[in-house]
Amino acid sequence: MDRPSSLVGKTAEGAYVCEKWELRVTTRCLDEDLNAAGDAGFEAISGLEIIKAFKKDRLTEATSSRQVSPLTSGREVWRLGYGDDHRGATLYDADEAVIWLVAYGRHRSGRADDFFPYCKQLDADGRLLPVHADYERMFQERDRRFVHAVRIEAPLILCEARATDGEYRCMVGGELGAGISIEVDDELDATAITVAFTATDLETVEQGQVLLAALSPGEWEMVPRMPSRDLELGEVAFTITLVSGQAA
Amino acid sequence: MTRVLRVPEQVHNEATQIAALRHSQPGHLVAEAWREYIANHREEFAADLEETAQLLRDGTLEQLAKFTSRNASARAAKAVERLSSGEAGTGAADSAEPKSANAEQTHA
Repeated sequence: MDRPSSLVGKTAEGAYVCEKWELRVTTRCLDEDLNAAGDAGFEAISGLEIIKAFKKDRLTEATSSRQVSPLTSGREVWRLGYGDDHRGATLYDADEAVIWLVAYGRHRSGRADDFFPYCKQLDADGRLLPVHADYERMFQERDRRFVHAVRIEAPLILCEARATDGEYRCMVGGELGAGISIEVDDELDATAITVAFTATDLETVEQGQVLLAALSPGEWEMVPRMPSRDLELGEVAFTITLVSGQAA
Repeated sequence: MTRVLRVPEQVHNEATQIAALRHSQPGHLVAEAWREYIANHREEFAADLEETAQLLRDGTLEQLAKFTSRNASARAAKAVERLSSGEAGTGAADSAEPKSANAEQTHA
């Protein structure tokens, strides 16, 4: 899913936002491999050589030509390199649209402190892959970005929807696909706003609630279809009718 | 737009059988069940919506974000479970289209 263009190519707390995913570093890697604070922002580590390579090589390609293998976990972890010396390992989680830098070290061919045996040992010890705290921080930061974006975008979405003949389709906060239909009844001096969004998990339900509340703080009623069409797979729709003078 | 939805194999098999009996598709059945779930939990949904609206009106961005993230821990647990079980797409074959594949339903 494409990120909002205003964020692409920028750091946002612990992330570097690319068009189709974001780059992040696991807490363990930050702390033990990069000697940074476990909650360091991406900006704070941007000067490191391996982070420069991370941003450059994973901007448009989620993987590289070679894996770090074999790994005990069996996961696909991809090599990242900078010059002769700096080595990293990245993991692509397509479902959550994130690429993690999971380990960093120096390449010392044949020596005990070489990066690759170190990386394999981390995996064997169950310490290589991102953990609960990594994902929780990611979701919290994404939610913060989303609510910030919705507060700005909601009035613009309403304007666009009013100006659109039929249903206005948009991507809210770069995360939530939504359709908005506005029907005005001049006789009753009432406006009906109907919103559909694809809600397949907790995240999108919560995002949908933020969108509805930002569009109008009143009582939304669930409806089985949009005014001009049936709902698509996974969509839910809500409507609210506002009489003249009510905020929307 | 459709998305990949991962469900346990047993649920997938049962959904496929029931869908076949109803001359429908498993994906449509799951979508219908999801809408029913939200409809059956409309009071919780309405309460959360009211809280969200109140925070939008009177709260800070941080308070609203915190409320929106109330299930972040559960979402994180699911993501880690997926990753650990090998269900997560992590390879070159997944590079083209993260989190928006055009399949109706897959199973674990």
